[in-house]
Amino acid sequence: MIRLPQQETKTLVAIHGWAGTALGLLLYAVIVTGTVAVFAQEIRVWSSGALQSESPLHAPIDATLRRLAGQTPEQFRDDVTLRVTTARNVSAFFHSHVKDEAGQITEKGVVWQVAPDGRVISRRDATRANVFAQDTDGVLGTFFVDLHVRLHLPNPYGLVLTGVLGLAMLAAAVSGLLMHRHLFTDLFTLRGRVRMVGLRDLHTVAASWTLPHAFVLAFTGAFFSFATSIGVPLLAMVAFGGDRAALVETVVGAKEKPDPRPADGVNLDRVLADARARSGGTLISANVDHWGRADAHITVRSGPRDGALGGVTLAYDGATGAFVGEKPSLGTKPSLGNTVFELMGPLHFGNFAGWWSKAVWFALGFASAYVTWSGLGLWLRRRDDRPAWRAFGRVIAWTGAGLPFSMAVSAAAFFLALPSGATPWWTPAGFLIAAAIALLPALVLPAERVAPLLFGATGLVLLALPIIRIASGGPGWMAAFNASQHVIPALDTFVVIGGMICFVCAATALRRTAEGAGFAATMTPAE
Amino acid sequence: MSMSIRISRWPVVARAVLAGPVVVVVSLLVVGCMPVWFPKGAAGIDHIALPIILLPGIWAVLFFHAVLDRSLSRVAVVEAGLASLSVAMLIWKFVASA
Repeated sequence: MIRLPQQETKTLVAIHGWAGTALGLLLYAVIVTGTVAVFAQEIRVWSSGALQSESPLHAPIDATLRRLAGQTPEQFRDDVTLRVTTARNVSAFFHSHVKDEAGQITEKGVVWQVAPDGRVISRRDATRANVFAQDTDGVLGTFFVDLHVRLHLPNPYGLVLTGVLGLAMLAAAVSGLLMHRHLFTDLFTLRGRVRMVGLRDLHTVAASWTLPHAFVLAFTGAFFSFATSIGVPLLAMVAFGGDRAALVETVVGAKEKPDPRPADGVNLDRVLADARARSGGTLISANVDHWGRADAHITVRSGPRDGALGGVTLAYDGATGAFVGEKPSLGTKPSLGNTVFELMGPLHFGNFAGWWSKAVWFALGFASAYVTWSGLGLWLRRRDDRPAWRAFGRVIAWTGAGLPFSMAVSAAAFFLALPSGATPWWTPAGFLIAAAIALLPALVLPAERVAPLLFGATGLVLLALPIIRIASGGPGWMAAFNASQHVIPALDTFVVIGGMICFVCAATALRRTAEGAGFAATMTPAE
Repeated sequence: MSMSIRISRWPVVARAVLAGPVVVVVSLLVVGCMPVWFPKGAAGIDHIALPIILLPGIWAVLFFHAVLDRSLSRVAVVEAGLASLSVAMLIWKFVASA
């Protein structure tokens, strides 16, 4: 039990309310998209219909790479980066480091997409900025992640905005904790369906259960947003006098003395097999610096092995294939800074214990989204005699129920565009069209009917998604089971259950609204 | 009447300024000067990595101090002191390395 003097409690209530209200809608959008993004990798697999679950880097690739190197202009053969694409092909980016129009060093070269059997699927000139543009199968997952990370605003503005939202969430979480008078009682107190009391109790119970999770997400989210947008440039200036190359050298490791003599290089298949055995996880990327030279250097990145928090990066001599050592994410040897840094990802993404932790993170994220929306509802209900706040109530209904609807429609648009390869255009277009459609009931209908209607529509789209997916050429359940790709039927089931929950919520809200009390208060704005 | 409202509101405005933009600037200054005094650690990266990781925490501590401390002058003194100390360290760092 926390007892603060009345004046401080009053201040905390004001902070809690204004932190949630001023940025509440954007915060809600970031939380909802972040909740979905917990399963971003699974969504990529599900939406692309990739049946191969094994990493293509586990299959022989050395001979293919040597063949592709011979077909790549010599000026782009300095380095090659291998990544696993969403469709389980290998993206091989042969590149050199050149100065762009702004004078910044960037990577420029040729990117090949290769099937696991060595067949070339595509070839394209690329720079670092657009090297992933080829991965049209993974657009849906990437769209949700980008919406969560930077609200699709250009860098660094989007990152700074989501960083500020993280701080607002931190302020709301800490003030919420401090102003609790009966923290443990509040975990279980639900006092019936009286409109105001019922909503406040539901908000408090959901907030109490999600408090530690909200704190962790706000802290780690603010870190991720500010690290690249403000933190790194600021500290590069102070610690290295603005010398980014010196910063990179400290973080990545000093380059060895150049040795440009030509060398045949080690068989990459042998290195990848060794990396797979040492890491115990799935290989996700590999990088060869100084391809075809005596000073070639290979790094291989793996996903986490069973029971591990994160993957590892292994370093090899590119000429001899000798194992050099395990490379920390930051620096060249283990350190406190690296250990803490490597904890931030699993804590934020909830991927530290596979599906189980992701499911818990998803559920808590869902509850946090409810807390944000119900908090806005509570704030409005105390001010529903003022026309401006009542109008804001319509905006809340549109955003609160329109966002899940737009996300579901963007997924449907993705599937419909998948056969033509136009997913990069139609996925955001579907989202925006759905948001515009959702605006109509928010402007025309009585406010208390907006959210139930949009939830019902979301349920309809979610129920149709597996059918649209299969009708667009996606694999059926039997094909997925035969290929041991369980993600596809699991997500189909998940989406159908989500659709049914939306229907139940919509029906319950309409019924309670007709009764004029209770659960409807949690679904509708004040009016 | 309007004069009394103006007088009664200025502490709220001053606190909002101290807890808002001033806390953001002071947090960035504190984090920005940490590489000057923070130990580099075994890999030579702790003085870069940990300040960035601690940024949300430093902001939160300064923010809640600014809104909960009843003495506005104490809030101002703490923030001015931290800012001055950080700026002094940054000047010393750049003058020493020049």
